[in-house]
Amino acid sequence: MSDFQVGNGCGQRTEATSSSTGPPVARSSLLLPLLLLVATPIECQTAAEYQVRVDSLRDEWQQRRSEFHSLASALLSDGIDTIKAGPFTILTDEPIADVMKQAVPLAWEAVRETLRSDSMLAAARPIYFPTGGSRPISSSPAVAAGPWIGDSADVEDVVNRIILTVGSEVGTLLDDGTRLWLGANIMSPTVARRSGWSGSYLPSVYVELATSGSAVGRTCFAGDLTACRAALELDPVSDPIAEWYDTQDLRRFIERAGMSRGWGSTEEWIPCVQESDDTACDRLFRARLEGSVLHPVSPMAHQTLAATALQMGGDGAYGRMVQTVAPTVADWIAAAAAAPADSVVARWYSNVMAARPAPTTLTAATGWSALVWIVVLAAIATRSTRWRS
Amino acid sequence: MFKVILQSHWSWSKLLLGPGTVAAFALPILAVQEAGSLSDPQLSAWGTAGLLHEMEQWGTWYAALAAALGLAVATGAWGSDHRGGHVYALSLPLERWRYVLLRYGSGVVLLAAPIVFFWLGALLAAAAIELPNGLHAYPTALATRFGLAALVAFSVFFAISAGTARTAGYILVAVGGLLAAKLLLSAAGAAFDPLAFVIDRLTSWPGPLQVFTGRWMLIDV
Repeated sequence: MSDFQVGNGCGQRTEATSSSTGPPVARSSLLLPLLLLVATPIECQTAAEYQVRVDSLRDEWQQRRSEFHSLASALLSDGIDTIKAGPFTILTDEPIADVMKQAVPLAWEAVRETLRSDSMLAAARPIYFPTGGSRPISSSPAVAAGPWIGDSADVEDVVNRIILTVGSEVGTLLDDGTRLWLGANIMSPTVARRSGWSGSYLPSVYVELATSGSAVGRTCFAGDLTACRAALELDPVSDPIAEWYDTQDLRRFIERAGMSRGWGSTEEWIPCVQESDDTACDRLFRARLEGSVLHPVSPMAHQTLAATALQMGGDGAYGRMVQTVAPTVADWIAAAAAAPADSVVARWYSNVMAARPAPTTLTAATGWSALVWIVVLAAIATRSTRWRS
Repeated sequence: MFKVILQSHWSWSKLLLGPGTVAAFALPILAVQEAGSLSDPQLSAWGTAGLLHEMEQWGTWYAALAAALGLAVATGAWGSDHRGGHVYALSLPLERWRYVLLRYGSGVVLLAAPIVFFWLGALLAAAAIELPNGLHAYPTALATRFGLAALVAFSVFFAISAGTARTAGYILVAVGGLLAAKLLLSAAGAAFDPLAFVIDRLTSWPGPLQVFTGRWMLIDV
């Protein structure tokens, strides 16, 4: 790839085109302003440089294509079919080719509906779905390895597997820390919607926050958005236990966990639980966790936050999500949403509060159904078989 | 006429109705007392989730008490008639359906007492506990559900008891037939379970027993 000269804006040109001087000077002094008027400031490279770039891209594309074709040829000798839906390419074994031919367009449509302008993330490389007895293949830069598909798999099941595999593929573009924080396949909501689930995780997150065992979770529920940032682990913390839990949390946890489950000997348990020694509780809690972390909220809460960021980010959000190298989760969320992380958290919080689940004690449907049955049964009683003394 | 029927119904039901009414008042209070000390306002760390779990567990007792009260009042409605061979009922210058409705009405009146006392107990339990942020008490909704469940149970057993021994026989044969079908199909390796199918239809909306299923939560989010 050639180096491009970009100096002050895009005004500099190489000697190939910009060094024309010489007679008549007066004419060029008149022409130069005209040339500058029609010059396109956006063009930062000469035609030659542009040609070099195009050539290098063409070479790279041809190299990738030949790699793909040689791999496909090798696979075709084993009876591998290639199925395409737009730029989306699937390799599959012959026994399941028919069901894959039905499933691939449906899967691609669902992926496009979710990723929109970032759909090409799903088409970065072909995906191979094997069936029983086929040659195993591991992922490479040329082709990704999908899950095994059974001979009797139905179309809907295959569509969902393709979508989830795409989600895994896109997920590999995230860094390890972000992927761990997210804790789920980014295409899981798409599969859930296709399965007829019209709800969301927000009601569960509401209950989770309302019943949170961590001080930071309860404070978040009460409306403190800074606490929500902490509960959602958007920023790194040096001492998670001290940041997320108060002494009452630790004592209650140890009390409920109990000595019978290995949470302390009598000498450790009594000072904490019965004598209310905060230091003893803290020491026991840290010793039993042995360096691991008890997260204040579940990955479900993280996923709802990510969904909020993607919704706020609109078109291009997925692309920004996977292509942004962010030092913290907060930066990553802000990049996806194209908005400050605090705005995303505020929107997420209002969504969670609005999703408060309806009480299950008595619904209108249950009440009316019971009343109808009372009337029906009373009517049946008046019409029962005749008595005989 | 109704007053006489009510008095006779009460005399046949009071031995069960009295303790049932006391139990209806006490259950919500016991539930709250069990889940979180009435004197402990610090329902914070890890206690909130436990409180909700305990509330859900006590729901079984509410449903059982409602069913038991309905059964007790329904059998009390027809006990004397069955013993006397319906002579008194047949001798009255009254259409059969009117007589049945009078009996039914007396049962509904008698059930009002335990339902009201349940509601009072739920109100007292909700007032006695300091709820953490995010939780709410639903004493009236719970009492309404209890009342509807008791009336449904009363209606079911009343309808069965209002019939003759032949009617009861039909019902027993139907239940026996379902059990036999289940055993035969199971032995033949069939996946379909007729008994489970019928129970599912009865206990899911809009079945008659759906009011007994689900979560009976005095305290919820």
